[in-house]
Amino acid sequence: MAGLIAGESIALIMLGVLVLGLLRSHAAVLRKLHELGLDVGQDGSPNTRPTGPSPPTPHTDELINLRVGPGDGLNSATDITGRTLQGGTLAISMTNSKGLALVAFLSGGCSTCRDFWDSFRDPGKRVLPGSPRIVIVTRDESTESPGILRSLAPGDVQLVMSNAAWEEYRVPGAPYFVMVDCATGKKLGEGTTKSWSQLRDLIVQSFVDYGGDRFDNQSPLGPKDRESRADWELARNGILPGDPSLYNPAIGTFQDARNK
Amino acid sequence: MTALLSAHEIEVLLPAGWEGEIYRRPGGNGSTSFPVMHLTNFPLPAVRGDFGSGVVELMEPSSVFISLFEYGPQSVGKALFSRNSFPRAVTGEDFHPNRLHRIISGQLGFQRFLEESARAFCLYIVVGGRAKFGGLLGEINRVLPSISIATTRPV
Repeated sequence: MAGLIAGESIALIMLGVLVLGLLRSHAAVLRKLHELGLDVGQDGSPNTRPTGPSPPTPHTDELINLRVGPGDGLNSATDITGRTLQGGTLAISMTNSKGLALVAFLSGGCSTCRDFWDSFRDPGKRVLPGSPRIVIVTRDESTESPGILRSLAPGDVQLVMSNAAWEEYRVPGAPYFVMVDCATGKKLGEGTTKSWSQLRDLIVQSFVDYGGDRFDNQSPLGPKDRESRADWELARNGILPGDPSLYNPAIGTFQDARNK
Repeated sequence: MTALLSAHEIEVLLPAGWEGEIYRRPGGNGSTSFPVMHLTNFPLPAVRGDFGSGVVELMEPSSVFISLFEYGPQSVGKALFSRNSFPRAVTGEDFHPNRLHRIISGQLGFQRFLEESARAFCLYIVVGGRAKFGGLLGEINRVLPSISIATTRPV
């Protein structure tokens, strides 16, 4: 009996040593990949990261300083010029309307970006208060696969590939978002979130906190749609997405209502 | 700030506040497409027609839309194109509502078929309104001289 216990103990110790060794080697591999400028997402897919001079640390889970008032401490936004997926060139100005622009720095290989790509392809999902113009900026063909980008890109949103823009905006990694007031060319906020719904909630909340209604009806690309307007009116009255008051318990979920 | 836009042997230096795209639609069914350049002094929508459908509907009185549309080499030397070269300046008399592809109240249009560097083009310009017409002409006449068209390299 004593021999059996001793044997099991030795086996457990050996197993522990083996697991520790595996964890150490895994950490070493991740550290090496990070040094090479490649992050690995939760599902193991690579997150491309900008190369060049040491970028600032990404601010995960929060859209730093996002507000619809003066962006204290933030630089002016620069115009963006780069290649298109069709082989042409595109120049976007950040100073030629009274409205807002949401510049979305995304990558085709970043697992966290997938939710943003999906949301941008769905016109019903990408509505935001103030109806900002959405501009997607990826790195160029030296880092990105145009084929993958073509499969992800919405057909009705401007997409420009520009390493220069990533450097000028000091983008720490994808996804990263910058909100710009195009009347002044000033950045109102920048940062990153894990999901589109989180980003949307932050923008809605910032409109409530900082009086974003001055951007209503200033959308450069057409009149505000009804859904966006309804969202904004609700948010202004403190009712944000997910608020229990939006759901009638007698009816249940939207899907329940459809099934009735 | 100015931006240099260059593709398909067409180049333009955009003044601050202007934006643009030089593109070529994918050919299909054996057809070949040729370059098109769009320039605006307001946000350029992603989806639009070569002569501004999807754009002109969004224009305000202070807006300008410029389209430079290339025709194929079969058009080079034809009378319609060879009579004119690329204009480096336009005047108020060049604009008229009847020159619009799509009549929208208040808007004025300019259209010229031309040849430049052995390539055939149509230059089409829409201004949003008369109220600021003088200023808009000044803007257009700052952009036009910065457009350069090179001879297409043989494929």
